[in-house]
Amino acid sequence: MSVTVSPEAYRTMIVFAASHCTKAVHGILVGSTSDDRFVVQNAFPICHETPTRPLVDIAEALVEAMLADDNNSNIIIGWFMSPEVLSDRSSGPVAMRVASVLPKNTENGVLLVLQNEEIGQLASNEKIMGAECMQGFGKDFGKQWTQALEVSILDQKSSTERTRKDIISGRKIEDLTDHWQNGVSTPWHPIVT
Amino acid sequence: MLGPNEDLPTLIARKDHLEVLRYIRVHELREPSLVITHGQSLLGTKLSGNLGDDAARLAVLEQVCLAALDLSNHDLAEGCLSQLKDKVGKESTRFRCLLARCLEASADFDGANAIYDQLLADNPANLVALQRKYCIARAQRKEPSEVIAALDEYLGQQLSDVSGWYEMVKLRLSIADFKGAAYALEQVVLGCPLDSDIHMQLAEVYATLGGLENLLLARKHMAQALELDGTNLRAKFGLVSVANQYLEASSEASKKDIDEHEKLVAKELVKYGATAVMKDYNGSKMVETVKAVMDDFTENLESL
Repeated sequence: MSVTVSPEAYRTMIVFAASHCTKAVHGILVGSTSDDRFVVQNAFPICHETPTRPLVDIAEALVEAMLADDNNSNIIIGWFMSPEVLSDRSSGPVAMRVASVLPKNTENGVLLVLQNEEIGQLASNEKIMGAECMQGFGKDFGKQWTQALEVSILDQKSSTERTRKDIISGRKIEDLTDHWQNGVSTPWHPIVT
Repeated sequence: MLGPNEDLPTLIARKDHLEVLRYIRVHELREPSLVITHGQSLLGTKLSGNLGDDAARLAVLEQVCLAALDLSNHDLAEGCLSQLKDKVGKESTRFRCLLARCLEASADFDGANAIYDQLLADNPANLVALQRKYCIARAQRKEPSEVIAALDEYLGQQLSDVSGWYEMVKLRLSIADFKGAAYALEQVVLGCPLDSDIHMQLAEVYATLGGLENLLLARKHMAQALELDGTNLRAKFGLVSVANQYLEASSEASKKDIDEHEKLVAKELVKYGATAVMKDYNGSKMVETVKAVMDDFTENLESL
């Protein structure tokens, strides 16, 4: 199986991780799935701390309500996370647990782990390309998140370039916990404002 | 001496370098650039100046040394160390702590650990040494059990360090040890009983653990969080979620475990939380989305 990521979802995830460069970040992936492919259409940033059950439950309910509002066929297909430590390249146990339970409308889900070192180099090194900044995982036969998935970014060159500019300009992405912290009039996700 | 209205910007504008450094030290601010600027203004670029007060000069040198380490300015840190060594001698405990910090900054963790081990051999209750050994274990990315053991050793000597317990919370959460995190958060609550966010976090951890008993605790702490801060929006959502989770767990539990009174309370809390959330979102862009979620929680209450 493979994962294709839309430019908007890619930009949201990478800039969100760069907004909280000393903390682990987590979020929900939304899109569609077929026999051999996940297509990530959007990414909802949820928190920059270890997610807990009430947080994930409410976040899931809000995202599903938004998807129903938009009348589109996208569903929750997985979870993305960026580890706290720069050199960490794999997901922690909490993200794996959330990714296992979250996608309710599909048997398999996808777990995207953002690669901090590559994101750190993205701003200064024009040779770093989009797909290098994330690693996709699916479930193997034993339901463990060990199956590496090939990740591709739609319109990779332009997506990478826009993301690079966002990081250099210091753009911040507000997640759900920021939205709650700062008040209801503050943005949560670009598509919500 | 600071006046009642004197704050850091006032002291900086007045170029009162010594008071600036004292202010930063007393308020435990992390301002390494300011410390170096004012330290060098006070003692000169090579820090060889004299203040007429030995104790103040030594404190400034130590503060500038730590600030230099924060900014990876090892030359400046070394200069501070040699000035201090000339004055206090290399056997001073405080000097050895600072030397070990310099070794840590240079990633010579074995050298730093050797000094801390020696300090602990001299005084097993040396809290600075215990703290730094924990920090080294984290920096070296040791196994979680080793890192937790190092922090445990520190907390064993300093049970009332709320920040230390909070550090334990974060460690335990990162390895999905929610039971350990709940225990550590209970210690934090003992130290900060009026902090709404701490009660909310404890509630979320208990809810994650699950089970009727934990969900009851989750509900109580979430309600307490709202009692302490009625504007805590995350706690309002949390109250709806944990109360609903309690009801769902009750509906699956055996009859002897169900407390009908608690079920009634949970239902009222779901309605209360949902009303509070809708009041906040009234007139906002997300009102329809939030309403759909709250309706989902409140519609099937009677069947639970």
